[in-house]
Amino acid sequence: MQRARRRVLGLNIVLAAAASAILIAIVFGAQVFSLHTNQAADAAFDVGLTQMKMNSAFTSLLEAESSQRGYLLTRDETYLEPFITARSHIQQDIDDAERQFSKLALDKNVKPLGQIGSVATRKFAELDQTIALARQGKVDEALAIVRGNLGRDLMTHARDTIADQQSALVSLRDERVADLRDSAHKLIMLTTLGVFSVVALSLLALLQMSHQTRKLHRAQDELETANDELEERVRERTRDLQRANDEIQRYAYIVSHDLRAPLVNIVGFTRELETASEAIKSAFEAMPPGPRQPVVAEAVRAIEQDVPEALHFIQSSTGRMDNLINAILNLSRLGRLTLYPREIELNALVGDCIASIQHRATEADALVVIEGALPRLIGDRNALEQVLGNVLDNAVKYLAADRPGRIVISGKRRGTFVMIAVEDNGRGVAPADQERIFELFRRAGRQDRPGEGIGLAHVRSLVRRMGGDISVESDGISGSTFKITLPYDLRQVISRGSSDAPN
Amino acid sequence: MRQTDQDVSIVMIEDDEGHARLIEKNIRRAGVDNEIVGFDNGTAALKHLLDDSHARSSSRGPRSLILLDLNLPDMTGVDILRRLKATERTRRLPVIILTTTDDRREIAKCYDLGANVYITKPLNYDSFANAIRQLGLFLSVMEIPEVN
Repeated sequence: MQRARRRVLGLNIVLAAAASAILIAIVFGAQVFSLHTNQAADAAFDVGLTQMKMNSAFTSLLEAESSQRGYLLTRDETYLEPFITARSHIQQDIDDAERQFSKLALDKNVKPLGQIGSVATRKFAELDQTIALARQGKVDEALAIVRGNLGRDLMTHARDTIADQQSALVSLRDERVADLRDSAHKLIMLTTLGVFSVVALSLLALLQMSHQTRKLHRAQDELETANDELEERVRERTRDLQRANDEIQRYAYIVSHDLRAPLVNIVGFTRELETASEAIKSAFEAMPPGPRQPVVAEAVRAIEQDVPEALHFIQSSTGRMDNLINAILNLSRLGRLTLYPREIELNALVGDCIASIQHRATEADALVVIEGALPRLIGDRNALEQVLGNVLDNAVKYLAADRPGRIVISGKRRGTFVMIAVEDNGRGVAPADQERIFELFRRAGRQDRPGEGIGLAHVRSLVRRMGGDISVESDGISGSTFKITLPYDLRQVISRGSSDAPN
Repeated sequence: MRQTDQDVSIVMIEDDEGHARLIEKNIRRAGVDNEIVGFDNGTAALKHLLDDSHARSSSRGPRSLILLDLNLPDMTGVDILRRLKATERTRRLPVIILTTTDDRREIAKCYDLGANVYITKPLNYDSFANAIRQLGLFLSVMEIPEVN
């Protein structure tokens, strides 16, 4: 039972650990992928931003160029505004683009963006030059420079450079977007896996629980059955004890009755003998005094000594027989006593018993106490008083000479039974005698106290009649404990045994 | 010597010879001379008491005092008591139960059935003998009813 329990516990621990491990792994993985996804998103965004910055820079150049063209065409200063704006932030734009580019931390062999800076510088130089000329009125010189195509070549160069970068960036961005998508996808997968894991583990846990519960219920059922069987066996044993008790009672009754009849004759005719011998004695006394023939002297001695002596012994023996027969008859009568079940407050009942022996206890320097609270039960008051009175009586009778007597009565309820213990520190009962003392006319130990050897037989008979039993525990030296077991409810015993008990 | 009605016979139904002898001795010691008719089994006793022909032929007449022991070999004294009390010609006869049983229920039952006296044979012989002698007194004063 212990091993199975440990195995189950181990299994549960393993499952719990595995579940925790899986969940932690999933959560951890989800964190990692979430982070990665964020990073991939940022990276992809960076690329876009770089593209945007590069385009801005180029747009600035274009705007500057078209603005210049416009001015050259119209020589209207208002057309120079875009040029001035572009000029003011072209360096900023290029710096931004360069910074973004470097942030990408590429190890690709792309043309350094720095080139754009020099191109832009030269382009603006050209623009400045043409605008300055136009401002001075030297429009034709300005146009000549424009036609010189340096500007156009520079723009083309810039355009090409940026286009190259852009294509590289596009492929990079595609890469990174793919990476992002992949990362997001993995995250979703992991999360889904997490959900499924939780569901699966929950199901597993439920399964395990229901399995355990079923096992538990089975065990409970088995226990109930075992309990019922045990109770049935106890009931059977009680019934058997009662039946045995009843048989003994019947025999006791029959035997003692059949013994009485001849005893009546013995006693009666012994008295007749006595009377007759008195007559003979008188006859001899009436004889004249003086020496007697030996035969006569013999007869006188017989009638004066032998006959009375014989009669005396016969009479004392018959007296004893009478006592014993009466004792057996009383015992058997009590075995057939009608029991009257009532609610009994044991504390009070035992208190009464103690009170009735208190005088002798004090004389014998013995202390009699009740330990704890005695349970209540439903039983026959009279019978219980006799049982407990007798046991206490014995306890006070058989104390040890060398120590003050201490008699403790305790009791508790055990399911359908009540157990009462009377423990004393008297002279004890030797193991060899522990069955004997409950037999009729049997005693044990030093025979220095009055008694017929009837009490405990009487007690056991009563206790068994009530559906219980009595036993003794003792080491034969330091004291004894008498254990009385009684059913909690006498009515059940009576109703059960009513079919076979003579009442 | 007490005067007893010599017409009355004492019917003693007792199976133990010793008891019967002791009872008889003490009745005689009490000065009672009446005929003692003894039976050691119920069947014979009932035949004597209930059999018409015998009663008619008896010179002493049918009037009897019955000393009944309950532990008889062939039937219980209670059965005999019942039969005696159920039969018209014997139901008025006084019955004295003399037995070793002292079961209170038995005693009650016997009185219920109409026994006149129930005496337990005590082992104290003196009181037993005394009781028998008192019976002698009884006999001298009690009226044995006429039968029929």
